[in-house]
Amino acid sequence: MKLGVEQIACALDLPRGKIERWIRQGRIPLVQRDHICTFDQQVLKRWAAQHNLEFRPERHRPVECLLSEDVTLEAALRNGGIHYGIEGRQVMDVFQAAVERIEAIPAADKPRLVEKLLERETLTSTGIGKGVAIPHPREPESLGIQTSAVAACFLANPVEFQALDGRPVTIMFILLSPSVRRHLQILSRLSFCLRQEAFVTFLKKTPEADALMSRLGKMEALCEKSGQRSG
Amino acid sequence: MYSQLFHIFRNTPLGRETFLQSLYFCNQVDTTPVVYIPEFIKFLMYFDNDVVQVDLDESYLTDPATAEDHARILLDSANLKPNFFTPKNFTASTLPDIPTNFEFMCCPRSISDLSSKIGLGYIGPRVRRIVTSARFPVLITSAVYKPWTRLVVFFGGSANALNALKLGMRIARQTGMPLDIFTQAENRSREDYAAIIRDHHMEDELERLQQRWIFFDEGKFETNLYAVPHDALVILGAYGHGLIRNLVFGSKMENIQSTIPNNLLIVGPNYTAGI
Amino acid sequence: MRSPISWRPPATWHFFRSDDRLLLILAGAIVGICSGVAAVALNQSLIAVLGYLRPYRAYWWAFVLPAVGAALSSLFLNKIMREGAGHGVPEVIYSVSRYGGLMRFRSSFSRLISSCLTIGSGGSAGPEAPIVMSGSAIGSNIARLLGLNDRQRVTLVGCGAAGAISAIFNAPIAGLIFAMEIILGEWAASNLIPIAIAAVAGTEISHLLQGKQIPFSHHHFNIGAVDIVACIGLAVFTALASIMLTRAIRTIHHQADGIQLPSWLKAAGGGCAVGLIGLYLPMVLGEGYHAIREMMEGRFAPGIGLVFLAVLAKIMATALTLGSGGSGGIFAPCLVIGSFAGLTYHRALAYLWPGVDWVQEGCFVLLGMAGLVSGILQAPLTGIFLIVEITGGYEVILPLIIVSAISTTICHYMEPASFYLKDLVEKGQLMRPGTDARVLADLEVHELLETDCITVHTDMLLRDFVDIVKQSRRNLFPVEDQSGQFQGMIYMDDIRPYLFDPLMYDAVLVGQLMNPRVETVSPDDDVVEVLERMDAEGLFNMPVVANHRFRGMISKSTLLDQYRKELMVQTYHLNR
Repeated sequence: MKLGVEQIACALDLPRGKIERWIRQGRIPLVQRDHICTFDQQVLKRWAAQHNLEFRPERHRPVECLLSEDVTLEAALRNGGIHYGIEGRQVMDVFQAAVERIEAIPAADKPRLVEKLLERETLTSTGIGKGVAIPHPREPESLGIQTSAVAACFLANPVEFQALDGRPVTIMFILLSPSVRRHLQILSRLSFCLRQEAFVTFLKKTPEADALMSRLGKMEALCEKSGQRSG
Repeated sequence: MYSQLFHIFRNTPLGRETFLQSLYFCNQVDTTPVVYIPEFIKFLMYFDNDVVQVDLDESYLTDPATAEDHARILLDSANLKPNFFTPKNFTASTLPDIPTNFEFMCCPRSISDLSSKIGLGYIGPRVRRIVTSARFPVLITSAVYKPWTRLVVFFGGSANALNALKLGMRIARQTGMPLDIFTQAENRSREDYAAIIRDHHMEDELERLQQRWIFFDEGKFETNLYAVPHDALVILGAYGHGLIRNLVFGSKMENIQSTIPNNLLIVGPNYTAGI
Repeated sequence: MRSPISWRPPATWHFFRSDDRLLLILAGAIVGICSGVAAVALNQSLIAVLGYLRPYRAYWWAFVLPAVGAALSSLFLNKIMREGAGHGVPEVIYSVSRYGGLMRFRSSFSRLISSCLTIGSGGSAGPEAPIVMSGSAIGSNIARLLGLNDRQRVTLVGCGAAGAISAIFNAPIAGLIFAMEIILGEWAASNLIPIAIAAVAGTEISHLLQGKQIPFSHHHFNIGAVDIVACIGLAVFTALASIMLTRAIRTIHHQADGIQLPSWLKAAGGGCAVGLIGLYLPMVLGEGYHAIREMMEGRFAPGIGLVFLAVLAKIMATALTLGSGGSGGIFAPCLVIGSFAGLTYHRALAYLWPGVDWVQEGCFVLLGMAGLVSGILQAPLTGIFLIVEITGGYEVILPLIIVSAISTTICHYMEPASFYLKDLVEKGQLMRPGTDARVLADLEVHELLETDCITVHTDMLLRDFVDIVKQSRRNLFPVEDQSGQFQGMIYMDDIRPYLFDPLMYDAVLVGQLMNPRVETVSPDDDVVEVLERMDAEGLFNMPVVANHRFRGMISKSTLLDQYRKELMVQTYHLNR
């Protein structure tokens, strides 16, 4: 039987570095060549049992490990889409109109998402000032979102959001993530961008989708360079 | 991912150029330099299945009093935090062991011969041993510091070349620099090479990086090397072929390095991809 | 494209994959033969050099011979081979315990030539340590060629050592026990068989090349009960001599280190001093087996005073040769000192109680050797079997065991680590298989990382943080600033009071709650150090931070978990 080192590590539920060391030290009955391990499954199972370990090839790492790859804001924005001219006079109206346009969410889940967004809004406003709001559900897992998505929504008219600085909101970024961890990742990247005065001015001009996307990509590269990464 | 580049500091003008090159690399690839200022003329590197004794030339021990200051000044100018390495283990009292768990290592073309002898001529035997045994790629610098702004990967279809390509793609992603692939056809058509890439599911990723694929059907390899941009970091796999073949035909890596003065990032046969 | 002829290491062949015993036995035999050949080569060239230099010994200037030899040997080692000089055996043990027996190729022959120069010219040292180093390096390099892993490579290193000792002393059991007791430090069946084969191969090759010669011919001794009682005194005497020798070598070594001269000059100085001693007491020069032979046969003429002086002189000469940088082992000098000590003791007994019917001198000479070898190496089994085999006499086994055991015990009491291990123990580098030090040295920080912590930001509101607390399974949270730099930790215990005060939810930022002064660990730190710091600070967890970024947590609970798994895997074969 042949498996990669990573899969072996997974099947034995041990860190990869340890398996590599054991192979090097000859403590585990398998032979490695070009990062592929060759072994006899029976022998390895017996060995594992003798050493109080369990070899289960079908085992998978917990989700957290699988998701360790960073999601870029740009990719998330591509998932969520950029939407112009969202109608509505009140928070609830704009939420409904905006969620309606997001393709990444199944139609059936949309009312629930709006509910969750409003629920979060009642706690404290997500209007973070300068006319920008970042609505998001409080427990992202509960909605069963598969991949991180950010929807950029340009409102047709300013809406009162009880923002921190009291200014009405014209731009919303709706954040949807499969986990809290992801949510924080995206949020921190977004907040990095929004802290740049130039970017906010750029947003105010209601840029074209392509222009926004590329600008965000550049900002993100910048942010990556400055070491902004979480997780 | 947290990664480190191991650099042996040589307190001479040549060493400064090499160090600047390392620092440039670190800044581009987001890697921390680990600087070793040697106290002894030799050290050992224990790899998985080999131990390499590196005998440095005397110039590495030039003026130890100023070495650390010089290194600090250069690190500061590159906005990198100093991280000096002091050996913990010694095989003999004057023979320190250097760990080998770094992600990159920087070498001048030769580390055991005096600098006066190094042209582009050859890769020193120690550097060669390091390349063949190391799990990390080795950065072999140009003689004079020269920033690079693009990447070139030599792809000949071997497993090592694939590793080199993967590494090239990773650096391209990190730096946002354009990536060119160079292939010298060896009894195979372009489709064959494309098929290798497809088989390893790297097609889409390559597409995204918007690379150029420069393919030479004819001409001598050495002549074609003129097409390599002067400001490129060249990434290549080394010793993809068997020992005997290398002895008879010479290695492609030696060919490339003796023709182009660019900075080279060499991926050895023991390179562990994904780290 | 693969080349048509490509070398696939036998370790990956299907045939050997599931069970490597046959591979190890075959490889062990090859290693045994190679190191046996090396041993014979050294032995023969020593004889040749000694023979060539014999006529010059008579001149008054003969005392410079050891100086020239030692200087040449030091120049050869440091300038041509560029080996970091050392005694040899400790390096083998170091490489076995830390790097799975990886050794340089050059080690497989460098010591042979350098020790030939040192000993051949009259330096007081033995050929055994160099030959053990060579044999081990041969084993290691053959293992590398075969693509073996650490465990198998260590076995072959042991095979090399066993083959070398077996060949040079014509003593297979001593070789086997030396490899197990001193080089490997563990008794496992998987090692025993290949090493035994190597010992046999080494002995056989030496028979083949230089005939069946036992270094010291066999004699019949009538040992009485009185003699056995007298052995206890001899054990004490030899133990004292061992301790003196160990300390003398170390003292001179440290003194020599302090002198600012090129190493070859220091070696020459040492050699010169040895040569001067040799002018008056020629029996201290070289490996000294000739003198032992005479003593065993009871033909050694000098009186008790001179013999006692010879003990001291030989100790001094050995310390000067080895301490000043000459190349060679301590084994043969041990045997010589031991035999002088045995002879001194016997003559003292005969002088004090002339009426008692003591056993022949030869018997005590032999016991003295065993006492010194056991005392210096602190390896009683090696001492016992070596002497039994090189003298071919089994009837002395009872006093032999007594002398070895008592001498080892006394030496162990005075010097807790043997001559070979002392430096390693001082540096904390001795990691015998299955010990705590070994398990901890093998574990690395990145294997123990717990990455299930949720990272929070300094400018997050307490309200948002409370949400995260609900999600988390952990009660500690690393804090980063906006650029991802690690700032500190939040421990649940510290902030519990605030969590239930909704008034504070919008007023407090995470940055205000965190503990900014936390001890951190770097991924490159040794687990031993980390553990020591945890114990010193009374911590159970520590954040791992590299390059100012949070990487994960390291905790004692994960450590215990991984420690146990590691211990099981490392020691399973010992408990079977």
